[in-house]
Amino acid sequence: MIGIHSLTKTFKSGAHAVRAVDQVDLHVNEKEFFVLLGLSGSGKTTLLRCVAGLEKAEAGEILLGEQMVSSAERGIFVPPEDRGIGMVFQSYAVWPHMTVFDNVAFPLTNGKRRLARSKVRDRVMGALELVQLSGIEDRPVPFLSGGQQQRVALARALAVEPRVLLMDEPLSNLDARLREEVRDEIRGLAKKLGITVLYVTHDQVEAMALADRIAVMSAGKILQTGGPQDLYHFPLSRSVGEFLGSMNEFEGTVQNDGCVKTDLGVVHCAVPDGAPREVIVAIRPEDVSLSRDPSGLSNEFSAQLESQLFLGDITVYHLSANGKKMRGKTTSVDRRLEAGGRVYVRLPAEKLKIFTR
Amino acid sequence: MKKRIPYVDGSKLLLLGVAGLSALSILGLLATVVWMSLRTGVPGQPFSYTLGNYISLLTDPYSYRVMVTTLEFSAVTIAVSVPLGFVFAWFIERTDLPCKALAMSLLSIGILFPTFLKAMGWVFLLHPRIGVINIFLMQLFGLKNNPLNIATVPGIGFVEGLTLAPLAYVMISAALRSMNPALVEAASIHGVSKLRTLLRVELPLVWPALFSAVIWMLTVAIAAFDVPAVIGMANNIFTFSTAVYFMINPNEGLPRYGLSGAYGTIMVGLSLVLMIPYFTALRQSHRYQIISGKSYQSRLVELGRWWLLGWGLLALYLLLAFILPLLAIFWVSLLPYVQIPSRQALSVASFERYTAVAFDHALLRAGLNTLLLMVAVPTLIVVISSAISWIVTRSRMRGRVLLDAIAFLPHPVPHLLFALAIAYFALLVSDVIPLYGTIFVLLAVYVICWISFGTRVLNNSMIQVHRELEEAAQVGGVSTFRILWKVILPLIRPGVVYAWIWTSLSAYRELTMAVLLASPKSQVLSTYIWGQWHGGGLGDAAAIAVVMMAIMSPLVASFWFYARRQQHIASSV
Repeated sequence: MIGIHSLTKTFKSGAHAVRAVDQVDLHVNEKEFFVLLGLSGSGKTTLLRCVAGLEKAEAGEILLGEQMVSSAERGIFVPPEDRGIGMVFQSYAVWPHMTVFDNVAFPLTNGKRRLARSKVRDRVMGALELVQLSGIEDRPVPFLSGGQQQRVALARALAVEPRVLLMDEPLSNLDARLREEVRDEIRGLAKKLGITVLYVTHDQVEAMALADRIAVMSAGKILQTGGPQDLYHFPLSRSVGEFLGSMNEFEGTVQNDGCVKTDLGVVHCAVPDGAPREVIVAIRPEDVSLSRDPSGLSNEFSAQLESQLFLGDITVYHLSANGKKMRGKTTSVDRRLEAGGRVYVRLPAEKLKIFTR
Repeated sequence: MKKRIPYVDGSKLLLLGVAGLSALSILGLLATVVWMSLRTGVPGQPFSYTLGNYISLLTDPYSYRVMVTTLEFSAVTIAVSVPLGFVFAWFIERTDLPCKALAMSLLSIGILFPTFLKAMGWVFLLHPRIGVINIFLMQLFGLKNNPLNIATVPGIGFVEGLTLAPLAYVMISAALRSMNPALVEAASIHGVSKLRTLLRVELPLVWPALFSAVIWMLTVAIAAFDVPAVIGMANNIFTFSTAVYFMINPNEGLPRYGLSGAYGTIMVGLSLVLMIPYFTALRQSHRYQIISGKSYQSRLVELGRWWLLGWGLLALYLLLAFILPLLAIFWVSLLPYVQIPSRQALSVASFERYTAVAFDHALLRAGLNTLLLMVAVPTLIVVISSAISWIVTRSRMRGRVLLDAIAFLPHPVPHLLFALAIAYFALLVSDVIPLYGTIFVLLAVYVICWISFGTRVLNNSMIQVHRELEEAAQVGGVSTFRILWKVILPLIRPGVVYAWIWTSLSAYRELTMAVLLASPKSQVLSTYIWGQWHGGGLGDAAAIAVVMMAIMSPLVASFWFYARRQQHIASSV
């Protein structure tokens, strides 16, 4: 549905030139919920704005369905109003001088895809019902809460029945509890209506909760694309792995027998072919298993339990093994473990990730 | 690689056209000033290019006298206006003076009343022959000669300084208000005495703002026409502005367009050069401003009984700047000839002039012309300024910074020169387009000169509208023109209304440009009064002036209420 081919966008500020989007290739399928994940400055918003037509790339192409909407090489640039898209902005961008109804109706009565007067009301009320705002359509928007304003923005974007819905950090101005609620609603709506969504966020939990697929961006480039589980469990690079969740990392050297010698000791794992000698072995805290007694299995090391943090649903253990700090995470509390005591940590070989240093 | 075709929609083209045409007019008129300085003769007649105008300017001792007069006049103006402005700004921003809002209103409203009327008032008060105060003092002490004389260079500078004090106040108080009080508080917390803090911390921090105010007053004084014209011209005192006017409207002989162009070129150059130190100082003072959005409330100096001094100064100022001159005008308008207030004078006082004036056809036409300008000028300015400000603050078109700079140009450059240039231009094309002497010439030059004001206000307003509000409409398929009309303008309505009313009131009070362009059929109220004044009909001029003030007062009052509600008055410079 969305095809992006070697897209490049540079911003110049004085003598500096920053490549916000750097030769990006991307393909989003029909009806897919696709999330662009990255830190601020990674270029994800710029990429989204290029798709919207709010920025003009200086190289590369963008296809929406069958339509070429941007091609620097061929001199094609379709303005935003002709792209058939809906967009939800970070600041909501609801027009404060209009009512809820007028906000949703404005593109339908003033835009290029204008509807007959009789149809506008049905369309607007339908969109408001979708986002559960029926009944307050005559209220001026400044009197609404942040969550309601965001719903107005969503209804406005949906009312034009876009072929693609673009969302730029739509939840970042909401408080934590509301964010979760609206997040699940957005996912539900997108799936119910069967629309293609391109969604930008810096929050990895939000990304995993929403996405069919995620693209992790950094410095204008896409590091890896995949489903949430793929990215979480099989990151191709250390930065992707770190971005999606915390990891314990150990520097090591690959031995001739396929084991890796680290500060912790020799670790057995499946080193991929062609890996360099100097590597980093990483494991997520919840994959570390902890016990008071040794199990005799491989990759087991003696460690000191320095402290434990009970967080309700999980417990976090701070450990020190051979002078290396590491963390473990479990959902069950073993009452026999005591801070200051000796424990055994095991790093299951199938959970270990190997990255180049 | 094929050449990229930039995408432009129709409404953007329209905005670009409006903005471009205005920018071209501004540049064109400035170029006309330079061009006419290089030509001989009167427009429409055979001419040749020459440097003769500059040679005669440089060799004529009269030019040097005008220059010295202008400098002396400017120095007095600055010496009166800036200290007054600073004192009022300090009392209002830094102390617990009671009824601050009232003090601010009284000062700000002062900017709006016609300057030439105040100047007329001062002539009635302190003219060597007819000045009421002079006559009074001479009778009281049995003097042979007048003790005071307003028709001197310091006298003119004094009156100009009084009228500019509110402007200086607005400029300086903006700097005092936005200065970070933490910088001053840090000094007092660390044990630095009050006086030392004032001298070593506060003054150096305010200095750039003070300096930029001084420079701005200098450019205003050089451009000033009303006061030097009303008080000085009849007594052979000429500044640059009045000298240029006199060359075009000499008592005898032909207008000397070439020479006035040479004067004008020098004035344009001077005012543009002065913008360099002005903006340097302004940038320096912005550096000291509060960056964060938090509102600081610095500790105010407790005045105690000294508030009487603050209000005393203010009252004295208002007395000198408004009340006395306006009372003098009113008094003169009631009398058959100027005399000091006495029982005998009161017995001959009457409203006879007013009834005579009421049936004056020419005055009625002048009033209608004024009304036309008061509606058409602000409307055009708002339309053009919206287009320019949108391009400057909203679009990413190349050259938008240049457009902004061009739109700003009429701010420092004396408006008289724009009027001069458009008169020359209208004469030149008068065979093809009969514009010369019509009200439309006034309309055009008012609009061109006040675009700078309109764009300053609308730039400020538009920049506050979140970009995404516009982009949301754009993505929704709404054209640029409709976005401007239905999203941006409604959101910045306070700024638009403010710009409209201010320029409308300016059109009402404007004399400088009108006096150079008005013909018998395109008189406005201000030029009508000017005509009476110079024809010797002082009493009639005074009567019309009183009527003009009476009409203006409710307009100013309603403007004041509106601006105060929108908290917009501070950006009125």
